[in-house]
Amino acid sequence: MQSVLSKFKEAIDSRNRAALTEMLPLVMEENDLGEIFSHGVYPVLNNAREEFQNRRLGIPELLLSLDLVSTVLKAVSKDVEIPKRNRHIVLGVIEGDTHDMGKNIIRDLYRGYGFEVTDLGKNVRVSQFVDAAVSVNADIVGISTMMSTTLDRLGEVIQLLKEKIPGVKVIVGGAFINQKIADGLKADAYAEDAATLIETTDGLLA
Amino acid sequence: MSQLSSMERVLLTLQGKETDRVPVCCLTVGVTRQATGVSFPAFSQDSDAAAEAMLYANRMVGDDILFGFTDLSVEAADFGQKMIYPENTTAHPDYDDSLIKGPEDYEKLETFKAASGKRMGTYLDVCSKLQKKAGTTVPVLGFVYGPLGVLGMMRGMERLYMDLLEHPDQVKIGLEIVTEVLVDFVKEQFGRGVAGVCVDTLPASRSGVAPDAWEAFEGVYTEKIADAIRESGILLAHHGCGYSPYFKEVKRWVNPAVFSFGDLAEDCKDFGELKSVYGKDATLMGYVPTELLYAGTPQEVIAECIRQIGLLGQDGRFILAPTCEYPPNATLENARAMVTAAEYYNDFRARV
Ligand code: B12
Repeated sequence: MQSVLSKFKEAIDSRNRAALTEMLPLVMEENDLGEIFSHGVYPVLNNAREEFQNRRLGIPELLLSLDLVSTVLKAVSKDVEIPKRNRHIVLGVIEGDTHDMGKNIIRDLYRGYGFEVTDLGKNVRVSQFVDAAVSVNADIVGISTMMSTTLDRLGEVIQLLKEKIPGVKVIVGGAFINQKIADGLKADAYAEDAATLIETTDGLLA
Repeated sequence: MSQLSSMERVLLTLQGKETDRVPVCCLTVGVTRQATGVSFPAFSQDSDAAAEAMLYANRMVGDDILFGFTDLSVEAADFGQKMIYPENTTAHPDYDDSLIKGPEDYEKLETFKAASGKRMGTYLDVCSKLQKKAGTTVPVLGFVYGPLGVLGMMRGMERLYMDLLEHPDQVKIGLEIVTEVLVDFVKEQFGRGVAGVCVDTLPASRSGVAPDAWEAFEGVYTEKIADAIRESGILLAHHGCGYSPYFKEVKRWVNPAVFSFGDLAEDCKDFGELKSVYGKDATLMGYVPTELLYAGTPQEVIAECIRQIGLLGQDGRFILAPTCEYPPNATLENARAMVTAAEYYNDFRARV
């Protein structure tokens, strides 16, 4: 007979919210958190990232998978500490820009992989980034923009963050950004997409 | 060959004939405000201000198509989506107050006459004004945002994308309603005398949904809009700015006379193949990166344009254009550089 854990994993894999809702309490009863993550959440996340990169998975499917993983994270973190990396990331889309799909994917991935994330949303003012990063003592500030109208403000945030929080790392991303623009803005790193995100972030923190 | 008017140049190019130079369409939208100093909110909401800015920019830059487009929220706003008109950037919906709050709301959308909508009405006035002032010598290209995109403006794209998987039937009811209004909108544009209409199906690429999902959720509906444009006897253009655009599927459902694109087609290995597969009976329009237009020098822009004209410009059927809207806060200098590249192509090619 199929184990509860494998049914749980299958529910996320097939993006079946109803099945997941049914399996979630059962899997939490029968399995410890380590098992849920190593046999449930991580394989699904790794697979989703790979499938996305290989174009076998579309953005809607990736979004839904991540949404379901978030549901799991919310449910389990009510009762227990989820496996953490003890690293705090402040994330947002810079003021003037409302493209937030990419940022949301990044946020859910970070959370899925155990980072603590403060999501400031979209259209975020320079001062909001700085205040949030100071108040949570962020290790990393991730800034997303898909537009060019926002680049001046992006440069401003990066400069201010570096002044106010020595040692903080800034990672940028979004369709309009490339390595050259990121270098020009004096960001510490640039990640092209969800597929390279975790490796780039780990490199930054090493 | 003697100097042609933009209208003549574009028409010959569409027929696959040789012209004095490759036509250029700089897709200048928000950036045109710089020509007259008008604000972003006025650009979206005041037809005189928008038309005047567009005309000035066209004259300054010297490109060959007047692209009548202000922002992607025109249609959604008239369905009742609450809007934000920021001073420093393009208008957008208030995503904290989406009109479609849950899957049950799709069917609550109501159809209306496009000309009676405040923003669509203003947009139609822009078309009339452009047409009246310049339309005989410079073709005016109207615009309509595709049905899935319009729904995305009222639901939030991310939630809409998840609804496609979890509530497909409700989404389809919404698409039917939206499509009816969009068909009326393109007919009204025809009534204002535009030379063509460009349909933007933003999700038809790897930046959007998978190809089969695009066909089921947008292709089927866009076909009705495309038919209405064709029946009016005007030019049907298509725009998509995402990565790996689905030319094959777009051709199947829309079959445009012009493909405006931002990246290589999903099913082509290089641009030579793109030209031979899709550029024989349709015109390709692209694909100068907006990043380059924003950050590059005119010299760099010209070099890229020369490369692209060399790659895609033979035998007509190519219009030089950016990958998407010209960056609203770049200077107009690089738009002019695009036209310069087309004008002095032979000269520059000898040097590059
Ligand atoms: C979908 C889309 C929209 C949707 C956005 C829905 C949403 N809620 O996000 C809608 C229709 C609303 C929209 C609106 C507009 N758009 Co738009 N849009 C796009 C499009 C087609 C795809 C973007 C997308 O969502 N991709 C899918 C996601 C998953 O990918 P992604 O965002 O790239 O994110 C990935 C990476 O970039 C990276 N990443 C992203 N953020 C971050 C952050 C960090 C820290 C890291 C490490 C990595 C990272 O990881 C992500 C996951 O892999 C792009 C074209 C393109 N080629 O990208 C244009 C594009 C972004 N849009 C553009 C424009 C111009 C607009 C409008 C101004 C149009 C208009 N005139 O109305 C408005 C914006 C109004 C405003 N003030 O904000 C231009 C911007 C160019 C510029 N120079 O400014 C683009 C680039 C098109 C182009 N080629 O020119 N758009």
